[in-house]
Amino acid sequence: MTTDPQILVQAICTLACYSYLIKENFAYRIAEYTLVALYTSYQITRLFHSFIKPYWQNYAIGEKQYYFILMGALGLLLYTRYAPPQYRWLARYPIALSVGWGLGGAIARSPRPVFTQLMDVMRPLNTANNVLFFVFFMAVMSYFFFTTGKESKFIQGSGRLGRYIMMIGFGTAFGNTVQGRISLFLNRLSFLLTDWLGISI
Amino acid sequence: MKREVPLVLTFLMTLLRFLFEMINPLLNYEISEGVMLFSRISFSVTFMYCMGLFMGLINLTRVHGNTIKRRREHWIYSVWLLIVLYGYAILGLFFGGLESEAFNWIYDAVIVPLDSTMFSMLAFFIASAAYRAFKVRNVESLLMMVVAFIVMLGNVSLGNAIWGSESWLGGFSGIKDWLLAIPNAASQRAIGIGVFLGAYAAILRVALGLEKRYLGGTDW
Repeated sequence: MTTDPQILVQAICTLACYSYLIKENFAYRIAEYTLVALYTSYQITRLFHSFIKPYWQNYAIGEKQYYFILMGALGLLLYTRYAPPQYRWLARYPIALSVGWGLGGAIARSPRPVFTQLMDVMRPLNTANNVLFFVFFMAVMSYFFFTTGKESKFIQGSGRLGRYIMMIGFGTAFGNTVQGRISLFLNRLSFLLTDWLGISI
Repeated sequence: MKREVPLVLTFLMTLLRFLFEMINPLLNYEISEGVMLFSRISFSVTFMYCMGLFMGLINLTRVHGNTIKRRREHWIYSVWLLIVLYGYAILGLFFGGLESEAFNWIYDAVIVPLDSTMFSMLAFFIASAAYRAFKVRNVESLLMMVVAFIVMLGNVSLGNAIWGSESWLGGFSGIKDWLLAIPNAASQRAIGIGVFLGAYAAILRVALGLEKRYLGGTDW
């Protein structure tokens, strides 16, 4: 067994988490609350040292871009949400500016990958796989045609095929997710056996 | 003033960013040697919303402070949470930050294993939920379970030992690859396009001021 204090703490944290599989208990709750607290503090520290501090030093002070001071003051208005009700509306200004900036980017950029995917769907129908891909795609799309679905027998049948294809898609996603989690579990198990207990596997 | 001005601001900022993204000379416009106007506006907006980084700290303090004050069930854990929260934040903000040895030691010793173990526990929850929810009742659930089984076998060496990739249809691995590349990709694309259209409509509603909930309550 290792005497490295860091590995010891890692092992205690891992075991505390897994103790939940038997029953909810003191060790698990401490682990859960610790993770929430540490992660929040970690993100605050990361944002502060990666954005606030360098942007302030480099742009507001270094390059004398004084509008950074104005933007910082606008950002501080976010905290008026904790002020008495008559001042809370001030928080809407920084929210509006950042949401607007994000939306403009989303309107311009978000269609690009979707259109690239749509172009790839329209493959030349020269192989069985390409034909199947196109048929499956159209079948899944037709599942969401709610306007004509009830009247048309063709759309009904195609929608049913679309439902089967979607279940295949969900099955692959489910299988991959389960395996992803199991590989994480094996990683923790390997850590406990090899790094902590020193058993070679 | 309280709602109308922010709505107009949202629209104007949306328009400004959209124009930057769509008009190339504007995107590459330099206010001075090597300093792009777009990047400066982008950085200043990032700087603005990063100023709200302490809101998480304040919210956690309010929620758990209330729990402690009212002596609600499990209040003692809230005391622990606040001690850890403030202790680690002070260590990170005032004693060396991301390069601090103590800060990184705690990150590697506690956050990494807890995070990884919490996610790995989902394997057990998924398995137990799947056992209850995915009983084979119809063709759809049968398809889903069979496909999930094939994908899992196709990913591991046990599947290769039962039905190897050199044999007919490329074994479990070959079928898994086909399932991922054809029916899965086709269905994901169709769903993705539907999701995109819905999301895009929602984005346009917010930009045009038809959707106002992101600005918060109507009582202030």
